[in-house]
Amino acid sequence: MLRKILLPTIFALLSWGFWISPDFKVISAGVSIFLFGMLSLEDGFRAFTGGILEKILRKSTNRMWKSLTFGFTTCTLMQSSSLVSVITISFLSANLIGLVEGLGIVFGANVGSTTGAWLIAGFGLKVKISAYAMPMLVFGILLIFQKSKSLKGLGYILAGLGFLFLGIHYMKEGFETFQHQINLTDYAMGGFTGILVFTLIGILATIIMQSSHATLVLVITALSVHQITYENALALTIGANVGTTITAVIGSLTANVNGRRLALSDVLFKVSAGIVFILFLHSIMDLVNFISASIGIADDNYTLKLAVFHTLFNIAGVIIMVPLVKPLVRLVSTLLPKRDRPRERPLFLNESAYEFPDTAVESVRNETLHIWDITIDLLSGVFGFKRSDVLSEKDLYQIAQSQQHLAQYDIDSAYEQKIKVLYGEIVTFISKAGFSWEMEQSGQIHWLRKANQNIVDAIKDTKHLQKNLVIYANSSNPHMREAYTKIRVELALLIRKLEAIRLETEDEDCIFSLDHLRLLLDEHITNMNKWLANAIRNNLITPEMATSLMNDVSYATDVYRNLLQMGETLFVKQNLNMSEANRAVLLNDDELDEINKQLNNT
Amino acid sequence: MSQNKLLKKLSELLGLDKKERKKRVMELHELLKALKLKEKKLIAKCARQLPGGKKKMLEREIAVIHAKRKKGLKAIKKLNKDE
Repeated sequence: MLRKILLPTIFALLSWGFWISPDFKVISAGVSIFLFGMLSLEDGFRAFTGGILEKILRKSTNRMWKSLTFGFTTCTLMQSSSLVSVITISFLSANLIGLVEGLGIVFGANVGSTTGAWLIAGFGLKVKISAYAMPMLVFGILLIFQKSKSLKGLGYILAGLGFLFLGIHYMKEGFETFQHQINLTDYAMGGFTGILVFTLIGILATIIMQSSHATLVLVITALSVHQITYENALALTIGANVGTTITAVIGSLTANVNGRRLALSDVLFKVSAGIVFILFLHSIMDLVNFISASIGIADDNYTLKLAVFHTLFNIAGVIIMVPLVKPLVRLVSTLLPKRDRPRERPLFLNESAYEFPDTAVESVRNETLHIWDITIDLLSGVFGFKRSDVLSEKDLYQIAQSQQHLAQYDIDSAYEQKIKVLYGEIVTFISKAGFSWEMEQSGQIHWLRKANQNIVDAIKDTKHLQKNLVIYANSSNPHMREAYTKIRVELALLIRKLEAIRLETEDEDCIFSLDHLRLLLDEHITNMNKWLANAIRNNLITPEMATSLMNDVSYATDVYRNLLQMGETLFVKQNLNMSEANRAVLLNDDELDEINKQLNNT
Repeated sequence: MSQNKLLKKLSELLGLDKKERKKRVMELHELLKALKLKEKKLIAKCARQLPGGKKKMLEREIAVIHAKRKKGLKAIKKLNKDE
């Protein structure tokens, strides 16, 4: 609801701003170009970093100083603490690094992000920056059109830097002419109220633009043309630092508890530092003056002094927090405890059901359907979809392609807490039922036990598949991303079809669909093998990627087969509403192979 | 005479087996009628101008239904033969 109101409101406010002031248009365009430059830079780095970043991250974070250095270096290169936070949260969620290491990276990234302010204040405002921006843009765009992945990546980086500089140029120009119309210093607020108000403005601006860099560039540019006072600029800087934690919070919403703990730690760190700096702002301003004088910054060079302040904010925060990392971890673990979900209990298995074989079979059948219902949630989560999306008519390919990131679903916990317990209860129940093997119901029980085994096997194969699914669904290689998207979408579509079959058991269409699904599987395998051969031949993927994909296609095929067998048992053979006639026309594997041959020959 | 043999003789006497078989044959005929109708509808749909993927999907469904009809006919023949 909030999102639906927020975007039109921002559009309306901007339109009003453009209408009353052409210079506001220039400044806004400058900010937009700057943000576009940052996106371009991110794309450029993704092309290079891919698997290398992950390898370095695993090796270089076993000590706090290594984590800090890693965070500082990557953020300095990428000029985006948000990107580093998102990567760290992903790795944390996948249990590839611990919370302490993750905090080290985030703290380091916070310090690394201050280099941007130095770049802008020290270089960006002093030279005719557009003179550097234009050749970067031209060469960058030319490189983007190249086929080579490295050249394309370099192109995005160059173009990104070019857009960054061009954005700063337009913001600077905008403010220079803006000051002749409106003097924003007329709206300056002094005292503690002023500090609080401008901190809040800084937080809001950063949340809207999703970038502390963009806020800082605006502040530095406005300060350079004396559109805001130095004190208000410092308050805006505090606000920008606090507001940037929102990106980590948003990124952690789809993460596991450790990811959320990291985001909370970042928020606590920045808010605490913010409060301290607000309370002691004037003393810190004296400290900034002292440091600036020591390193040769002129007393009236407020933009560079702002850069010093920004750096001091983050370094002081890190110096205070690093010794307190373990207590911080304990605090966030207390505030965000790992919730033990209540273990799933059987709904239909009870002592009274033992009385008659028919009631026993029906109890087991219903309990198996209960397990299937839970499995839909589990598998949907692993494949990155909501249950409601999987069971609707929505285009899952579109949903998959619009997802920026596939989060790791905690399949182990879900299986332990829900499926394993119920499966164990069913097996125990069947053992206690004590049928003699001549009875008709014993055959039904055997098939139901098989259906449960199929579900458990499908989940275990999904667990194997998940490892590479998360890596390659987020990979910088678009071909691998496409292949893994196809795998998870097809499996989700299978769940949709099976559930449709379960619900439409009166209609003879349901049996046809199961056979059709079995045929589809053969087609999927054939198409995937052709795609793989083509991808290897044309060097679209590395041999390492190809072997991973081949293994995962095998796992996906097993999942598909197990779920189909489960469907056949549970929704057809064990469906008491279905007639013998329907069961008699179920096609076996040989008959389906024959159909495949006929279709391939036509 | 054992219990099972007695039950078998009784069902033969009462023609229970025959009735059951007749019921199954009738069910199969009904099912084959429905399958034939569905096959006709799909063939008509397939004859229209459709995108490649959709046409292939329909051809697959038609092939599946045709195979089921053949299987159903074989099952009827077998049931009638047993009689």
